[in-house]
Amino acid sequence: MTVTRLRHLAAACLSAAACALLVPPALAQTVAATATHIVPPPPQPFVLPAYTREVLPNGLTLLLLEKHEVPLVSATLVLRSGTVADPAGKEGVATLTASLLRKGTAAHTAESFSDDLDFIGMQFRASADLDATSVSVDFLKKDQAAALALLTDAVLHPTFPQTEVAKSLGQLEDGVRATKDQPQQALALYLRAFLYRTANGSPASPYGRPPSGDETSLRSLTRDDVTRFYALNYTPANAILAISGDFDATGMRSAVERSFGAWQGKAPALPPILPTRPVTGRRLLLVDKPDATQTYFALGNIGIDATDPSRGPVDVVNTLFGGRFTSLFNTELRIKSGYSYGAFSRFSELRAPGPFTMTTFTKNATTGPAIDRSLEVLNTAHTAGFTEAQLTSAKNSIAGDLPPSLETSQQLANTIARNELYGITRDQFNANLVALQRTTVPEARQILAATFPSADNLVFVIVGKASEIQPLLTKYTANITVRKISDPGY
Amino acid sequence: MTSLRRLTWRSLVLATTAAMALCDRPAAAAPIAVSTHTLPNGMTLLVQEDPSIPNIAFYTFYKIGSRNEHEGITGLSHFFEHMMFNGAVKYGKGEFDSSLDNAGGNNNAYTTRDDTVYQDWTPASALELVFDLEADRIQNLAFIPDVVNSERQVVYSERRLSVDNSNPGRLNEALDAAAFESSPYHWPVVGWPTDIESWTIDDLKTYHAMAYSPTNATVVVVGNVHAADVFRLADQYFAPIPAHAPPPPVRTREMPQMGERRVVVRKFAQLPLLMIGYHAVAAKDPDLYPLLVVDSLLTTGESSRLYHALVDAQLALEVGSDIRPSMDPSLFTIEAQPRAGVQPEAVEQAIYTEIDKLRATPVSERELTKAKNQIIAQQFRQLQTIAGRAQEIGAAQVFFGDWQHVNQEEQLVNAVTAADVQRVVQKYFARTNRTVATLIPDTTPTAADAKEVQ
Repeated sequence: MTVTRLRHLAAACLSAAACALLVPPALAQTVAATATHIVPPPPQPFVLPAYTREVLPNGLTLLLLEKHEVPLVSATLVLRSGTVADPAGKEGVATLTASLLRKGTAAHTAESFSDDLDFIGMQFRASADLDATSVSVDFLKKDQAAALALLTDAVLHPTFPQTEVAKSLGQLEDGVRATKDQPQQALALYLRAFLYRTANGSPASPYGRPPSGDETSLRSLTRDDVTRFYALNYTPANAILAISGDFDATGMRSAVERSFGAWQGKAPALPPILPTRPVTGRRLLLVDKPDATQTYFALGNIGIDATDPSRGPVDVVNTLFGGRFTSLFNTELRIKSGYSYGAFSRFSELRAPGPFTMTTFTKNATTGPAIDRSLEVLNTAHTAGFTEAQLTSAKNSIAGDLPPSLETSQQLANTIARNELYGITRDQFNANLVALQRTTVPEARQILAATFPSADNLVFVIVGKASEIQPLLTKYTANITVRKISDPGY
Repeated sequence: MTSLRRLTWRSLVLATTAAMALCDRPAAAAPIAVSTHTLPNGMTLLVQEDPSIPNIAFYTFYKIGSRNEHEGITGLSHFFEHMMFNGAVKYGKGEFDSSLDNAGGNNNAYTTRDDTVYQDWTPASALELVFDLEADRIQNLAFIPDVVNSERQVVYSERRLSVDNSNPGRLNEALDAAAFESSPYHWPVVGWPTDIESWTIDDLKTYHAMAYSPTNATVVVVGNVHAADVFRLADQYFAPIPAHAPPPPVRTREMPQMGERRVVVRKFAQLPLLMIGYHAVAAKDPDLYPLLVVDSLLTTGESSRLYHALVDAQLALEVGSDIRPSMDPSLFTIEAQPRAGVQPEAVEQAIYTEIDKLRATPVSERELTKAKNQIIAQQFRQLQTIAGRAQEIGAAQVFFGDWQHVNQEEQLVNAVTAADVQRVVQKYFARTNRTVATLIPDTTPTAADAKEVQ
């Protein structure tokens, strides 16, 4: 049993780091000037390594990045159709389809597929998130032929046996129950559902729908839904294949052509991006979890999309606001007050504007003070902005964290695939790293005003023990919705 | 799911005769080369040079964990770990974190039953800063009363997150408390709630003096550095730390178990949970390797025996198992989340059926090879990063007494035979040697209204 300080509590669900000492600017400068403290030079610039990009005759986009330190190879196949492509009322079908790829193929039963992939110690993951479906494998160099054969078989030739469909559906249904036993995980789903809902409760954007379905939608899914989703979305023109690791690019290109060359099909129309504007005013969702001794809450609004031109400077500012351990938010909620083990903020990176969220948790008795303090943090950032020294520190954090985030073949394959998904070239990615280093104090202030919500325009989502905390929530807004965690859906 | 952070045991690949003899075996990675240096005060330094990224991983391992505690101060090792970030003399409160942040670095720490590990990840240019920061807090930690009380609340919040409001966390605590009667593994690393409320500054000071001696520390640096530079800085910053006695040995050992133990936790939940623990071995026991193979056979991948018998058979949503190196003998655990409507007892029976098969029939050569390949491929992945290597080199030194163990593990895994597997299943997976913990969903008002202690 291990207990950690969990500085990266955010890592699973929150993005880049950031943070400001909550010391006043004058003190910050004094600290920097203390002669006895060692102040190293800024991190050396680091860039995303070069890779080749090519669109094969069948429309498949192929990205190859050679990397030879370790005899491992990672391949990620991304389809530009995620859970957003679930037909209305059929939420969960993208996830179900991905989970079934290995459960019976032209060449394998579910059992023999697993046996072959486990025999070579290979990893296989298939899942759908909002914007994309990904199938990734990680294998030893010497097993390249066997690994590519398994990947191809799963993606091109799944048979979706009815018995496996029924099993996976059952697992997804119980997965909803398991999620609701984990308040932190459930919070993110409740937040998105509530944020992307219009004032009258109807969904304003597919981002508000549950990516793995819910108690109601899963009951309606059938094998036909799966085969229809597969036929429409699993096509080469809709796919990106990113491979990184210990291989020779020429040989790998031929191997891919042999494996994927015969695959045919047009890309489906991308799901329309509905115009989503930030919420004005406040609304609050309370999810009653009657056994909770700790309240988990998120404050948020709609933020920016993945390719927003201000993305780099926003990362710098969010690093200081709530992206790293020493951020304004964590300093107030953890370091100064001890209310929480951790408090983090992030801007999601999605095709359409994704949520901006501030999340933390605290014992029932300090729920009110912790929410108050979170709102103060937002107000303080808007009024005080950040100093030059703080911006420098955030830029160094981002630059210093970059090399270990592009260290493994898996990280590189995922990064270049994701860039391709959002239409970001290597040059743009690297130029953005340079540009964010130029963020100025006035620019940061402008970003706070334009991109961070004001405390008056916020969605509150709170998972906790209603009988203890509900009375104190009315002071934030009269616009309160209450539901039980055991109620179907999110 | 038994731990907040899985630090499963894995390591390096060394091409040996045994390794080559096995079909489908990689023989690729060169052995890890480590330079070593010991200071006059007893501190050990281990360096692996790797210029592939311009960063370093700087890990400090102290052989101190919750097993070194006693009732009344449970959780103090972990609390102390938190206090190590709350100010010393040269770098005051908040300045450890802010100095590293300003330099583009990052840090964390974790505490286990056996050790406490401080992790700094920084650009290589911050190497000297890391030495300065670490030397300052090892020697001159400040104990500020307000800070102690605020941090106490943070730790309590961590306990609520990882135990009180976590079904697996709560059940795991109950399992350990029942399985270990006399061993210090009886209490949780985070500490009992009433102890968290009661630690004093004097407890902290006593603990610091007892545990944080240079002889008790191993520093591992991996990344874009020269070993000579690291050793020069160690002579400058760490050599002046006065030597003193290491912590006293832990005397209390677990008694042999004399019959199955069962424990039930009733808690608000949507689904039940099941955990089974068998008393197994400490790191240095050679039976560790066959047990690692058993772990892989039972639950690694969808071809594993328990995935097949539980998940595929629709009895459980997921299943996992765990055995990891420890100072004293620890548990081999199996955990499963039963599907809705499935009684935990049915899942339990299915697990025993699979264990009985392993006990009765030797595993086939192909299945044995599969299990070894899975372990070794996982070792490769762990050792891809400078952080992964710093962890493994340090763990080898702390748990096996020699960093070279990272270069021996593949051979040790490959040497396991089908007969070894059968023997350890017969030896450790006995009914009388097990503890079974079950979480039963409870929606009655009593369960929902259960108040926390604080």
